[in-house]
Amino acid sequence: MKRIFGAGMVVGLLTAMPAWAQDWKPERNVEVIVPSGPGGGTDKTGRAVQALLQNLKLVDKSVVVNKPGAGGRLGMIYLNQHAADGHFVSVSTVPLLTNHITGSSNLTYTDVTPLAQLFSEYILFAVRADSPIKDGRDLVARLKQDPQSLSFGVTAIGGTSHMVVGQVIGKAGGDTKRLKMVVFKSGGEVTSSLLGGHVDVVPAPVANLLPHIKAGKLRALAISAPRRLGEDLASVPTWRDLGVDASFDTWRGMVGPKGMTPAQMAFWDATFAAMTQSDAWKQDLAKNFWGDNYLNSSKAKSYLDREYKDFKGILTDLGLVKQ
Amino acid sequence: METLTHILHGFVVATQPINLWYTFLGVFMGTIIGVLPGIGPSAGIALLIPITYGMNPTSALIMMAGIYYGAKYGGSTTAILIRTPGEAASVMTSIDGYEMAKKGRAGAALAVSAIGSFIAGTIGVIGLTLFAVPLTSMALKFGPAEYFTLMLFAMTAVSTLTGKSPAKGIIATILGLMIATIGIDLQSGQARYTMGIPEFQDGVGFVVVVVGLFAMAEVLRGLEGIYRGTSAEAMKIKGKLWLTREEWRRSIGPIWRGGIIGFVIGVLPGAGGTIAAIMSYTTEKRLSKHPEEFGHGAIEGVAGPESANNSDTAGALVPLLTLGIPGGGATAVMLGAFIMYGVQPGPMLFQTRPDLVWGLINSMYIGNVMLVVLNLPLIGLFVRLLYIPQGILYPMIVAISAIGAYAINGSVVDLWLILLFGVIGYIFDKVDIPVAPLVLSLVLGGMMEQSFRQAMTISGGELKIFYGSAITVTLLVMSLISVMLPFIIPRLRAMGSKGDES
Repeated sequence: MKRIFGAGMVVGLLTAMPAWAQDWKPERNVEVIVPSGPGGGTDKTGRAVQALLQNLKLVDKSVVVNKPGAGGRLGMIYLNQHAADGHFVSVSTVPLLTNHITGSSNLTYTDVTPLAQLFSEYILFAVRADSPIKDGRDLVARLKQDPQSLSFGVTAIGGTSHMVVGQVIGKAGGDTKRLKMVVFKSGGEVTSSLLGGHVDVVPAPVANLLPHIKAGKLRALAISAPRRLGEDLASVPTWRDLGVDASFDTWRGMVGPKGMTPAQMAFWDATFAAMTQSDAWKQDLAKNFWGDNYLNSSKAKSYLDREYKDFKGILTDLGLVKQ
Repeated sequence: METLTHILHGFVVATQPINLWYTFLGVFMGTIIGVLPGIGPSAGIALLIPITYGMNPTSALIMMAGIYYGAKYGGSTTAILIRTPGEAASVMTSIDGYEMAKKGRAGAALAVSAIGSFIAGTIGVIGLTLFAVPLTSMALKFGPAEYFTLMLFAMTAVSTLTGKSPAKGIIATILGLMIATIGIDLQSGQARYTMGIPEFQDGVGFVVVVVGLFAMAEVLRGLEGIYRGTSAEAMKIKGKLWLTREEWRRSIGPIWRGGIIGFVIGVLPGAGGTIAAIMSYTTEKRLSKHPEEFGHGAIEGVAGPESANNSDTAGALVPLLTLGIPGGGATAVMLGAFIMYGVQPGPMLFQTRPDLVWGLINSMYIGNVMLVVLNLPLIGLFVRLLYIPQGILYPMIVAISAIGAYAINGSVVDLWLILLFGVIGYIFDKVDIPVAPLVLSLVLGGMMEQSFRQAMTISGGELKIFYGSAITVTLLVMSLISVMLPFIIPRLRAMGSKGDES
């Protein structure tokens, strides 16, 4: 049933397109590039997308190609080695923008072709169940008084978790440059260091923390979403609920190589629109606590324009932008 | 009592024909993946994920786990036969295993790897069955300060690997520490010694370094031998293919000690099989009555590390199943697979899905039996590799090493690096600098530095964090004893022999 539905969607969308849009479709194997190693959210995104392209018969043949390295930059270099070739698409992540802002990469979203924004992931702030920190307001108050009084566990300096903390404390009027950031190699190590009481607070994607919150080992303080989420997170306030005008989402999207033709972009617009409307995709989103945020290629471009400006502001406040 | 029922029911799940079939499929593919350098279990499991869509999650996870521990069986094969570790955790085996092969004991080295892996693998699964839940709280007690003191303790073993000249040992150690600093520094986010090469931002891969130092250096030495006409004869098997009674007697201790070391290290997220193998090797060398044989084909140096890297996989499943926290690449991919099947590993899993948990754990007992049955007959086949003429063997080693190094990241830079480290390894051999201290400091250096700085950030620069818990104090005392041991043991021996005379 799902397959029929998906295929029907494509036909419907394709027929709705202007005539030139049908000028291009893949003739060979499509490569879905994952700019990170196996395991982790980016890899999961690429594999979910490739499986759906295949199962919904949106493309004939496709394969996932892991190109890890240099915070995603090597994947983008590989993508651009196939300039103007519509058979190559890559998962895009926040570091595509932030690494360019901090100067650790010379490639950003304007050097590739944005094709879609797929979903948003929100950052949950959690402490151990026995922590003296009462709630989000208490956390902000303690850090405003002494930014060094608590330690945060994160996975990268200038990474999404670090940026969220910077945004929240910055908006609340605290000193973001003196915060204690303890950086671990992986999200798993961050979670276990919080469970073991080695760091005080962890800002991390919902999926990493929720099982431990449900088991009563951790306590949620706040979430970086613009409005309150449902189900398991219904009782968790947003920062705005707590009087701090901060919201942040870490997203994933799809990009193609530089120099794609309008016909190629039209094909991928139709394809990703069909994919994101399928039931199977909605199930993937729910399982991983990803919030649907599909945008087509032109909307994705202006979304990234805005994000670039926002990120630059936050990273400047954190003192991470090379002058 | 309820748990016992669950465990018994797990055996029912694991012995269903379909699950037996997937166990076999997993361990079979794992063996092949282990034999090929570069292609590790994480890439192997990731490739399989799309195929498992729509499969019963228990069967799929049984197969994935099979690949994970099966790969550790295969990793020793190329290490012993062509000095190319098929897997990072087999690095120590390419030292003594290859030396054993040179002496005509390749069959024995392969046999002890398989049997050691089987016994230690089973020790690991028993540990997982009995202690998974209590061990979880121990693993959580390990924060940055504890990891630092653990790495410090492991690092004190460097003196046992140094050989005759301490100065040469220090050169190798420092070079390893220097290589470990290449890449983006986690704590500051700054690039160090990347020389503008984007590939260096993630550091220099461990497998790339050891494939160069061991396999490529061996090829260069072989080339020299051919040109000078001094090359050794093919490494024909001498004596029986199987273990002799004496070899077996020497291996028993290292196997069970390796099994325990591997399991305990495996439980700690972030340590991993390579560290387990190195710790087992240095432990055995210290306990040995003839430490001078290590590095020249001591069977203990194969039996211990190969056992440790196998029980490590069972240990690594403890934080994965009880906390949903992956300790390394392969377990991270498995965590992704769990979630894809709608199963959330973590504190609730043992209550909500006992059939899956115990089916998976119990399948590992069966998988280990399958692996030993599968691998022992292969020894006769693999040792035929040694009879390949050198003119064909050396190009083959180069090809396998290059494919393996390239397969990790698909990066051409890694190919230049194995060549560079091949030359370094060749020069080290000429001037008699040992490579083992380099391997040790490369594995431990990065983690030691990062955990030190993590701890210093947490404590706000106060050193007292390092003697603040029972674990850190114990590890510091053990480190101190370890450093003094070389001075104490000869005296004890002297006293002992005096006692005999009287």
